[in-house]
Amino acid sequence: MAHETRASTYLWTWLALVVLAVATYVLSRLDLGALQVPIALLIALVKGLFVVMVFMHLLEHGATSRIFFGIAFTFILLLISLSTADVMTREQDLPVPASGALAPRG
Amino acid sequence: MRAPSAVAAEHFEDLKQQGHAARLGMWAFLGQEMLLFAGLFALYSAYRSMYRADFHQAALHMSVALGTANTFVLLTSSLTVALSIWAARARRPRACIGFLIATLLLAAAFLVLKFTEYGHHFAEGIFPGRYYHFAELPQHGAHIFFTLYFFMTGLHALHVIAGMGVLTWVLLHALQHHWTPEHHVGIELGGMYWHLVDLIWIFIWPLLYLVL
Amino acid sequence: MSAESYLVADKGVKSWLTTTDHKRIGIMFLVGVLVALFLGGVFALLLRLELLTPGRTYIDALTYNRFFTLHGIIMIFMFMIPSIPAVFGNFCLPIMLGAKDVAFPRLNLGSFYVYSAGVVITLGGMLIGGADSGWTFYAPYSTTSPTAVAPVGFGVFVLGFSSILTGLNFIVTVHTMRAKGMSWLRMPLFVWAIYATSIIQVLATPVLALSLALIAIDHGFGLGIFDPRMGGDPVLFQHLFWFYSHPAVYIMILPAMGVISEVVTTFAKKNPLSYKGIAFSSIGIAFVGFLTWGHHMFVAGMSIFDTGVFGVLSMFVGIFSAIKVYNWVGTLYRGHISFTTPLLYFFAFLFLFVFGGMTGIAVATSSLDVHWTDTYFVIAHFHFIMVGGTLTAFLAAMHYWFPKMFGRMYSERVGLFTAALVFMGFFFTFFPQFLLGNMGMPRRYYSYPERFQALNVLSTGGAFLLGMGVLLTVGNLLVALKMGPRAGKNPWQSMGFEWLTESPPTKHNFEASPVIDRGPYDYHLGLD
Repeated sequence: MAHETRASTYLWTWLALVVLAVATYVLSRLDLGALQVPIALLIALVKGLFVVMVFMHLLEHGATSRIFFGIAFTFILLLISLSTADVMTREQDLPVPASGALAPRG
Repeated sequence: MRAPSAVAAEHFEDLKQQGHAARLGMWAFLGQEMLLFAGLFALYSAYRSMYRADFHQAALHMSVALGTANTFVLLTSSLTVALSIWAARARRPRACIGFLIATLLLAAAFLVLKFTEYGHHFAEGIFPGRYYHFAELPQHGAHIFFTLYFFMTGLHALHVIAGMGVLTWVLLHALQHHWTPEHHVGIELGGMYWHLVDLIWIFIWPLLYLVL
Repeated sequence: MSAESYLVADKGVKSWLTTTDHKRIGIMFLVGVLVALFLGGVFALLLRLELLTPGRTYIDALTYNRFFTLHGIIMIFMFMIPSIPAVFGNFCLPIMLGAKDVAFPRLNLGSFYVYSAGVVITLGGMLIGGADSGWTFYAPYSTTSPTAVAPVGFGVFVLGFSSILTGLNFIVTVHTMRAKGMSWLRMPLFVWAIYATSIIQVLATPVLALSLALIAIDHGFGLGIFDPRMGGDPVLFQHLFWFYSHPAVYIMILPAMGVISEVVTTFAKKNPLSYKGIAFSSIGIAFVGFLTWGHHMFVAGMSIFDTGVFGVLSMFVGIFSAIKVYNWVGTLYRGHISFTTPLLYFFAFLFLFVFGGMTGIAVATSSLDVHWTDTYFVIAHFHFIMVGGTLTAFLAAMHYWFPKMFGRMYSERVGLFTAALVFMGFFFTFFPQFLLGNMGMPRRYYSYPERFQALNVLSTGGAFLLGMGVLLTVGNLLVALKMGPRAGKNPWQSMGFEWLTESPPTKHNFEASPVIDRGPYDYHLGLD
């Protein structure tokens, strides 16, 4: 294993997490329009990386674990994005042609 | 309880290989736990784009105070469990025990806050699924928001409870001074599981509580 | 022989039930999956009997729906998904890596018990009413059906967990327990296949777990998250369900491809045409397999945008399969071919898998699929791959590794005969179904118009022939267990690493950890 983390590193990381959490809260009180959710998620991602890399020692553990974690995260993004894209790109109330192949019979 | 063995298990070459395998195994396991929650985030994302206004209205009825308090509780519990591992590696068994107990107390605090929150919701008629009868927000989107909220935080709370079980096992070993600089894979793995619980909440909190 | 074989090293039932020996666990899984194959097959025959006549033959519609649901659930979750990995992966993977066992032997035993629990719970659910939603559990029917959806769904949830644990074990084993000298590019291709499968098992199965949990809780307590009356969207359930269930089909076929790679190299006594082609295409399939799930939802109400995206992405998977097929055929070319039962299964696999795979490309074309979806065309397509591909490879593996696992040889003549029966039975069962589907016969329908009867009768006849073929195949092997001649260490004269051990292997596989100084298919070196 690579060099072991010092206690102070954990404390600084915790402080960073707290600051970022406060930032998330403050930003949520402002009206940032369409950027509101992306910014909040971006901060959450940074917090997540701190937890994963420092607290969970992924920085220490080696490339294989990092690759595995990256792949899992990629698939999560894939599931969320394509299912949301479906809902967002559905057309409501498609026009029905008056005559022709799609017209109701009889 | 028996101390972790000083010798690697029969099928491993040495302790280093065994430790490496254990950590890799835990990362694989955590990867699958993340995928378990992913589906719920996908539902949240899809339904939010379907019911933007309703989700906003519903989120206004969430207790930002309790949710935010729980965020700090979990972040701090991540610190304390990380420090317990540091203490084990630094051959300070009493500090290790102290930090583990602190973590468990914070975990319990999380559950207390969570169940208090559920109680407030129930009092208003906000229940999951077909038991929902919150007259103020009868619309579909709000109903779905709260059902998702209960399922996501409920599944998360189950993992908090499981994590407390894991940390209790770790504590029982710690009480016998089993975690040392030479043998601390078990406490590391327990800590990793606990951090996952924090990690999931880091994403739940802004999406469900901060009325975005 | 200095040490005893793993079969007799420890005696008594208790030694088997508490074993951590990967070989014994593989055997226990073998018993489990064969029982599942038999049970799933019985349900298939029962429903094919009903389809002999256009109207009611001997059961009512609800019973028929239960039969096809249970056929699907048992075959997929109790047979196909575990079969090759949990039986042959368990038995061969550590030996192929030069290891004494998997990374987590006790977890391996746990995997077996979780599987057994899943089987018991699901079968228990069957006894109290079963499920009639199809193995796909689509909401909102599944959440409102009068049948025992929740216990059956929960049973499958548990079975999924077994799959996750097995996959996790194999991934860590491949990363951390290769013998000295075994670089990644010296690993047998079967190991690459199992490794790729394990990635899918670990990352895709939890999404199934969530989907089933949502359905089960909804059925029991009215969660309503996919219920249109509550504003829910049933298509979202399908997104979650197929996110697992499409990669799941690669869980089912990748190990089969691994078996095929081992069989074809051994019986052509040749290096594969391109080792890297086969190895990396396995990883390719594992990844690209995650990108294609929406092709099961072309007519479900999914948006045109997603339909387009998934339609294009689905085409890419065919590339990797094609790379493999060219490789296998190229491996045979100019090889020293021995015509044995496993190789006969290889030829059956080649034909049926290519046929089935090409129809897969066809149904991936959304403009064509709007006509074929939910007809017998799709049923024929996936049975060609699942039965013509995976079951064929499973039977090949049973014969190929039989001497290694049990130290005895089966009768080649009977083996060749039963393989031919299986192939013929399969073909008469499922080829007519392409025609039926193209003619418009819908799937999961209890009754059908008269003009479809002749082909249905043919298909049912084929199904009974297939069933008999499988029974005789297994019977031949069971007889050989007791009465077959003793097999030597390496009866096929294969260069594969598993043939370095005794037949059957000793409890710890190797006296000392081997040092690997050659590739697994270096036939040009001559036998050592």
